[in-house]
Amino acid sequence: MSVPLSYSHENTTRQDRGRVLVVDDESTSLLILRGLLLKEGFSPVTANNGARAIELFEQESPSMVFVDVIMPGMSGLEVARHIKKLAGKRFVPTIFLTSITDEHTLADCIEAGGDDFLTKPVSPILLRAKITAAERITRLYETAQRQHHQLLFEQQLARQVYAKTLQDNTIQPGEVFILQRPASVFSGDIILVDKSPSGALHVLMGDFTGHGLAAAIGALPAAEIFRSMTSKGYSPPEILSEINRKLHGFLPTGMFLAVVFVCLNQGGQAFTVCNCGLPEVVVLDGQTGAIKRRLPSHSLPLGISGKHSAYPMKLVEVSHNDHIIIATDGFIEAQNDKGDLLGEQRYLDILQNGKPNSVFERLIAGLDAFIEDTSLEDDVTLAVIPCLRLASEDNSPDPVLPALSDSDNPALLIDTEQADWHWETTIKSPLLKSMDLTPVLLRNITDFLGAHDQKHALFTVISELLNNAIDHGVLELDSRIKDNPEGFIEYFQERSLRLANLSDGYVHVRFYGKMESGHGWLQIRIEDSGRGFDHVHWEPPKTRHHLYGMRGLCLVRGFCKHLEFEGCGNIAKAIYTW
Amino acid sequence: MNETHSLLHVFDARILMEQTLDDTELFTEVMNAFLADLPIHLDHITTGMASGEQTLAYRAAHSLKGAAANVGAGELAQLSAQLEHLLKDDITTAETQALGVQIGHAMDRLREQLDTLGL
Repeated sequence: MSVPLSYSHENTTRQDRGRVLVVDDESTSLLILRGLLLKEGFSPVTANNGARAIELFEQESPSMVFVDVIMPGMSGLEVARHIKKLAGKRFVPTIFLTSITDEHTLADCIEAGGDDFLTKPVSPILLRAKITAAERITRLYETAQRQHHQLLFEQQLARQVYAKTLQDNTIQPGEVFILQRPASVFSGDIILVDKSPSGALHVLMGDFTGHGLAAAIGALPAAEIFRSMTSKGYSPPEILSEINRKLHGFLPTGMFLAVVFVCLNQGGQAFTVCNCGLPEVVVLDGQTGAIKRRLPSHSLPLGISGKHSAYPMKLVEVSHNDHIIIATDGFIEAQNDKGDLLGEQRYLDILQNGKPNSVFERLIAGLDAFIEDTSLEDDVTLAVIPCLRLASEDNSPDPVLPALSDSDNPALLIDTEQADWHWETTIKSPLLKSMDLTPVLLRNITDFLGAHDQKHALFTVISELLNNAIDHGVLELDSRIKDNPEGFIEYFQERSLRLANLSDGYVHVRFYGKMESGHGWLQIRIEDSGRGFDHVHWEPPKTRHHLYGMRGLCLVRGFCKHLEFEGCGNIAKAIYTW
Repeated sequence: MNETHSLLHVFDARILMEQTLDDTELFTEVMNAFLADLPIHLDHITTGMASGEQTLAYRAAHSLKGAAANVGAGELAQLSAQLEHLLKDDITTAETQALGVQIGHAMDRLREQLDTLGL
């Protein structure tokens, strides 16, 4: 004889474990189960048919349901299905009641959404065990739901921060056209656009391995480096090198960033590009719309190699209205509902199939027409950069430059004895070959003197002075080559050649500066190892010409209070005040 | 021993006691409901079989089986199970008819036993 479990009456009201629903068409089963559940501390509600059961479920929202499998009218299985649907996101354990001879329907029970079963006559011990198990699973489910919501919330938050960090606000509409379609909440692609102090447009498009948050996590440091270095005037290879170093340091093995970096000069005459693992960069002819140039990947993606990697830039000359198109592989690999890929051929066809000015709209329309309602498997990112000449070569009205009076006495402007800061450096030919000096010198000035709001003007001044010293002084280049459009490439190729072959030569830079409460002055003296020029009898041109500096040093004259030459013309001295 | 065994087969109070956790109030409530349903089940069985309403008779046999098992009326439960099994396969034969009669007798025996026990 089994020993029945006994309860004292007090225990039954110890806790309210919630409402449960019991459904059985047979009275004794209903009463027994109701009684047992009361003793367990639940508040049972009962129904003897399926329709009433569903009604009660909607009214009472029980946390658990017991339902007899075999019933007249709606079967227990149907009731269970309805209930699961009504419960929606809520987990309501549903336990079937069955007599032992109905074993063959047990598989159907679980299929219908049942979570467990109890055989009749009910054993109080088993009932208790199954209730405990059901409550455990409910708690597990609720924990999972909570964590899921928390995760979603955090993702949304991160996405806002991410979007804000990556947002750019220095680019005018029409300078770059960008399409970004992430496959999920976070895109594993990035597109960064900014202007260097020289006015060059920097565009960096990247594709992290994979997608989603794990892929996007590298985007923040990459964007930070890009923004910071671009604004300081660093060159694309230096920026790529720094991003590579950073990503290699913390990205897990197997993750990397494929990028394209395009740098379009301010005049819109040429751009340099480095393609590290993205699809071909395409240039469309501004007149005919035909593909003028295709630039496939020629460097390793970033984050792979820790060794100092070089990022050689290809130089491409462009004419007015030429268009540069960059895309990650999500575009070409977009699929329609049949599983076909958009493919390279279709991509090239879309590019050439019309005027270059409408290529952006064509690409979007082409993508939408192909994929229709199919959702994207991979992030799609696309950029179109129109190459617009700022003004036609010789006819633009030039800004009037302040005339430098020869009677300006530098001694009246500044006194180097009063300088708070004196700094000099000599850079010889090996370093001249590998370094871009302007950002480094500018950094020193702003580090020591502050004057951060003078950064852009100072960048221009130092850049032009250095250009003068290196290009014309040390390398003895004649900038008249650049006067005609075709000469642009010729000039830069000649420059690269002479720089590579440079065996000796130097630039000596000296600064004196003083700064107090928002005002200050800076004297810049740059001496080069070149032969100089006849500065005594030289007439500086009155108007601005190319921005790449000439002996005229027009921008220096535009920004500085004083400019003079010493020695044989190989020493330039400028005074900048603010 | 045989008699005890067969008496227990007719009605074994321990089975319902276990399920009601010695709660005599609940025990009584369940027994009352059971006794109230008995004539209804029997009526559905006999009427159902007589008028060819197979489902009615089948359902009643199924319910009676469950109820009888719940309250510890073993003999009644066993007979009802047999009838349920036969009726499922859509057989109304002399066999099923005979079972119907046996069930009626078993019910009488049960009521007698319950009276003796004062339930």
